[in-house]
Amino acid sequence: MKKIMNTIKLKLKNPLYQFILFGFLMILLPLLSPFLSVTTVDALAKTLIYFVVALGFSLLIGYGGLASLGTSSFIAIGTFVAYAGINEFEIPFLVTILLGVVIAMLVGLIFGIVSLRIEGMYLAIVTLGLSEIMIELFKNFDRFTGGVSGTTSRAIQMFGLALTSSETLFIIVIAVVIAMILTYNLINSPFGRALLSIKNNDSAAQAMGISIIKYRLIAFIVSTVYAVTGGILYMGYIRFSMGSTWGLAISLNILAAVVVGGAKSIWGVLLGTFMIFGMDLILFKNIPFLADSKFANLSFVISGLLIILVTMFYPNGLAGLINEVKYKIKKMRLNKKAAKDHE
Amino acid sequence: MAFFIDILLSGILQSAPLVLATFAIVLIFRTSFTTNFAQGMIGTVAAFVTTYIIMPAPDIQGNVANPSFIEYFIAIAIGITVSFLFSMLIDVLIFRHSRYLNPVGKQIITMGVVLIISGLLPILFGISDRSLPRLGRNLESTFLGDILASISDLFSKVGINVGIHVLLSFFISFTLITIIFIALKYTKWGLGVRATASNEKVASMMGVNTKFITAMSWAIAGGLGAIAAILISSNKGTFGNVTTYFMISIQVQAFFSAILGGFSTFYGPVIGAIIFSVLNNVFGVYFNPWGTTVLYLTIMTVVLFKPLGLFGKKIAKKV
Repeated sequence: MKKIMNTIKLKLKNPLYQFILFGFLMILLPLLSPFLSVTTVDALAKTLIYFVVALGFSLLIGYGGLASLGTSSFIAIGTFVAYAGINEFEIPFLVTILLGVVIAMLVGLIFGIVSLRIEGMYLAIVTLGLSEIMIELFKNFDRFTGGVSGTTSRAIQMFGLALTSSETLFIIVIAVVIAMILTYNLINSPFGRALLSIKNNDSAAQAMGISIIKYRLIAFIVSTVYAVTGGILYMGYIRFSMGSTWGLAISLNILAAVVVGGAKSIWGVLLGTFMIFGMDLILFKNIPFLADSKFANLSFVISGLLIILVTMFYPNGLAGLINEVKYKIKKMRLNKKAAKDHE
Repeated sequence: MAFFIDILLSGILQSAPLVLATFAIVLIFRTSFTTNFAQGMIGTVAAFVTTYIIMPAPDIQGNVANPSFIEYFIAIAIGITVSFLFSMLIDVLIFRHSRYLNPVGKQIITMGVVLIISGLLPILFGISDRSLPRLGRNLESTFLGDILASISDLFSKVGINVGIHVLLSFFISFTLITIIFIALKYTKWGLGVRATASNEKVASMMGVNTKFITAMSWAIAGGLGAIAAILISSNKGTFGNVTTYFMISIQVQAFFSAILGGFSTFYGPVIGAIIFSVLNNVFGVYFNPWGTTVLYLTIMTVVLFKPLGLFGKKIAKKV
């Protein structure tokens, strides 16, 4: 028995097994859903979807050193691709995801090339412009987007069955685990190391023969693919999407989640996402004083403050802070031990 | 041809607020080395303060407030002052302490400021729609009003319809931009800004008070953003023209104008803004309803071939 526990402990040191364990824990969620209220389950599902998006964004911001403001437009593209795939063309769900990935790559390529050719910091401006263009596009392409009133999708068809929401939750959890493993592998590949070297010093990286524009472009495209996938999952679960909801606020909240949690740590991003998106749902909705509609955006103020404080004082985010505390405790223990040995 | 001249001239006249917004962004870019995404939001604060002063509780029937010229002028002045001080405060409290952050880190901070302001506005001013009346409404029989009306008549004789509001905002913006360019060239502040823009560390070693220069640049940029926001929101003169996010699209336009003109000079973005406004009018006619989209894509194509913008200069960087 002890031997088994030890092997499990050893295996859990490997992040890949940690991700899978996290997936199993999350799969318990649909089983718990009869005991939780519908809004809570919905909120958790939404947070998990935003976590997928945030993972892609963490790659861009933590490793690419770039900020983008078009995240919510990419999620919106994902939702409408899903709508078109499920309701208009009636193609299988996995093909829809593939279609979404191809579209994401194309859009990311076009907008990435232009902005990254000038300089890294222009990406945020160009993607902000992209979101403006998208708002216009969503208004006028009402066959797929429903114009101003939005679209309601049917349930996802898979293996000849229409999936219920708790079954869709399984798909979301699987997607989350895949996204985590993919991100981990990307970070620890030559691609991730090249990105990190560019972030730390682009001139030096260039001198070492790393093409800045190529790696940054790939990072941006990967982040758009994550965002579009998030959008497809969103449409699969929530089944409603409206062009005007995908504004600047959601892009900024995802940025807040990544920055506050710690862009370089997958668990940090998870923590940040749950903090930023959970704060609103769990904390403020239950306080009667703050139920007034003018306080609806109070969470924005807090996430804004957190962004500024974390960027100024703790560039590694909450994950970095936790690591620091852990390190200090370890050091304290070692010091105590050394003192004891000395005696 | 007359139609084309109409579009061209009205484009130039309407570019006034955009020129101010663009210049504010470039001023901060040159002194703080980042693009300020909170620029529009800082202007929005001024618009909200102004509406609050002329009409504390928005009318449920949807009527726009009707203040006298002096009242309106004072309200606008207070609004601009609030933005001026608020913008300076952002620099003193945040950017003074994060000077050595990389540009993207600073960008992220300004995005945080956007979130804070967009959350605070409904808490401070309520959630109902607010509105600003047009600028030149009560000017009918005054001296200024007569001049503007006669200019407007002159334009309409040539076949160009220009409202008093547009004329007034053009003159205000034109005067301001002229004053600022003269100040940049001949005052101590202008010299300091130019020195800081070319190299902050060396400038501070040479005795330039860079802290003061940056704070003043932020404050002036905030003031310009405020004027731009007030001019743009009051242009429609209809109910509900002041909302939390109304400056976002203007800000995107300002950013694209600055990219088109090139961030590395002060005059480039101003010309960029005028070109943007004219092209926006032209494309609005020929590509309706995709005018702005086509314009953004055009600018991106131009930038693809001229990454530093139309008037940009290449700045060599040592490793």
